[in-house]
Amino acid sequence: MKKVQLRRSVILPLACMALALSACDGDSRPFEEAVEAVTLGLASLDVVPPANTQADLIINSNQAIQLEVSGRDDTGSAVILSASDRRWVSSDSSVASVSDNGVVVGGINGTALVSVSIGGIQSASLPITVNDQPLTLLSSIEGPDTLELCQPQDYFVVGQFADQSLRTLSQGVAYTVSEGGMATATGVENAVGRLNVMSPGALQLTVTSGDALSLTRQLTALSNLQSIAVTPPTPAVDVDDTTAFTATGTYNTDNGSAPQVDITASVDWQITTGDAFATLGNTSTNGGQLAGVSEGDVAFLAGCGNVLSDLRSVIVNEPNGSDSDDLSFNVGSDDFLSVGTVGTFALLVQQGSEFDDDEDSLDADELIFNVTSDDGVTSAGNIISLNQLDNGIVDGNGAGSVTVTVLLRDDTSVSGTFRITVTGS
Amino acid sequence: MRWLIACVLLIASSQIHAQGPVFAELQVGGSGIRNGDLDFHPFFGSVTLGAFVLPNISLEVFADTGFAEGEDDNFELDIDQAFGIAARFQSPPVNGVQGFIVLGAVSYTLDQSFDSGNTVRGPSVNEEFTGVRVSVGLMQRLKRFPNLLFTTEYRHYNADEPIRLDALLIGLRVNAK
Repeated sequence: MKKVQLRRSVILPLACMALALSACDGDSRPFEEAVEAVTLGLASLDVVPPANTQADLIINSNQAIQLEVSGRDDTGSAVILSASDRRWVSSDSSVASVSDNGVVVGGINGTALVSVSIGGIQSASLPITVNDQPLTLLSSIEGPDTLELCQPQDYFVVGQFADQSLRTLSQGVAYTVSEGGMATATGVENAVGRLNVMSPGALQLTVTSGDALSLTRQLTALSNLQSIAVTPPTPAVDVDDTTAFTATGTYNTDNGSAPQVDITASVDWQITTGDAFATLGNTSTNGGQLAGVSEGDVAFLAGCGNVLSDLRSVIVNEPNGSDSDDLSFNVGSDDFLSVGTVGTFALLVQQGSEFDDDEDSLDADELIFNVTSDDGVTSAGNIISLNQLDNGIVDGNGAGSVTVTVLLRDDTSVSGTFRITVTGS
Repeated sequence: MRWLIACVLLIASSQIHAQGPVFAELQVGGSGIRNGDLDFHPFFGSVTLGAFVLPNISLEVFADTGFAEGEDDNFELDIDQAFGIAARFQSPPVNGVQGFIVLGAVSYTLDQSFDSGNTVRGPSVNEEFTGVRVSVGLMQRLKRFPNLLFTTEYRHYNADEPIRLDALLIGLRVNAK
């Protein structure tokens, strides 16, 4: 009998304890956010409605919208903040519920106030009205009247609902363009249409919602694109290695200036010969990324309608491993370094194709540095300063890209190349 | 904390049948709590009451309270309080020394504040966590006072959140029939 009692006396509390162990609870985020708020000097917060929202934010039941949060520090400067994993609060969650990531979902008709707090700092409330009404007509397509070639523009649609309210549509919208062969329209996040045109002239942008509602707008594609330059002047890539090329368009304007615009993501990248030896990305996310497949010669170009870049030739080589004929740098595996105009970067150079943090680096006086700007126009000195006497301290001077070729002073057949992009002004 | 009250009642009721020795322990310890890049080392005291339900297996309740906050980069973090229930499994004594492990459930409350050095204090956070307690340690029986044991312990509180508590404690334990 005593044995039974002892077993019970142990098993019951242990079972209870096991139950408790499975119920972890608590939230570390307030601690992290308090530090974040102080570190950023956060002084105030604002809830940011979706882009292009009308003055009154009205949604239907079960409609979801993404809110963002913006902050300002003591000096009034903007502070970049993520809306995710925050303490979002709705004054009436039956009207509008809000997730930790700032996604609001409409409930019953009414108005709710949504706010967010970070590290003890409370935002002002954003009123959100839920009024479940059908869409009756498409009121307008908002966006610019004219487009430059290969400079995509975003368009959104305002609809009128049965309660006569005007609301920016955030779902259920399709975009088509009359000149389908030379222009593309894609629906992107929150029913925003991104239009990319490749030939000048008039075109029609048509928006449809459901089976019955449609709206058309006349647009004009300008013919100011004069030329496309592809950089960097990389002569060779290795098999299984990827090199990112940039397409820069030069546009004429009425005032005589010729602004240069990075149009890498919107031009048409084509391999003209040697497509068995490399692949060339041609989407908005991988445009211009040339990946070596096998040894051979490749020629490619970037085009925007009838405007084509010069043909670029690249040799695809087998990688030579940790070849002593190579120099390597502490700039990452893709031989690409991004620096700002504030601060410096200590460049290190080693012999061999793989940079090893544990190995000693070469002294600057053992090396020869050649720096050229990628656009061929800007002086490299206006983009970076490379202090060779101090083992390659890189200072960013102005926005732009340069290609740095480094040679071993005692044997100039040993070399390496990498690119530096300076961000900011 | 209804689960904790229920557990305490269960233990209390089970001891009516257990008829084993009981013990009390008083400890002080220093802890390490990491919040992002900040490291805090607050100090706290802990008291434990327990009873053996089987040879070398005991059930215990414990409570902690902080007495010195940790500081880093103008932030201060304190163990406001903690309490819980645990099972202790200890080895047979060898030359008066016993090893033990403790597994249990804990509720602990942390308090973080920011002190910029002037009269303005920044955001203060007070949050309760519920999770598990894991401890390992050694006990040394004192020759002159056989009912007294000197204890050293490594203790870990984990609520499945990034903020966790690790602590080293020393203490005195009193056994009684």
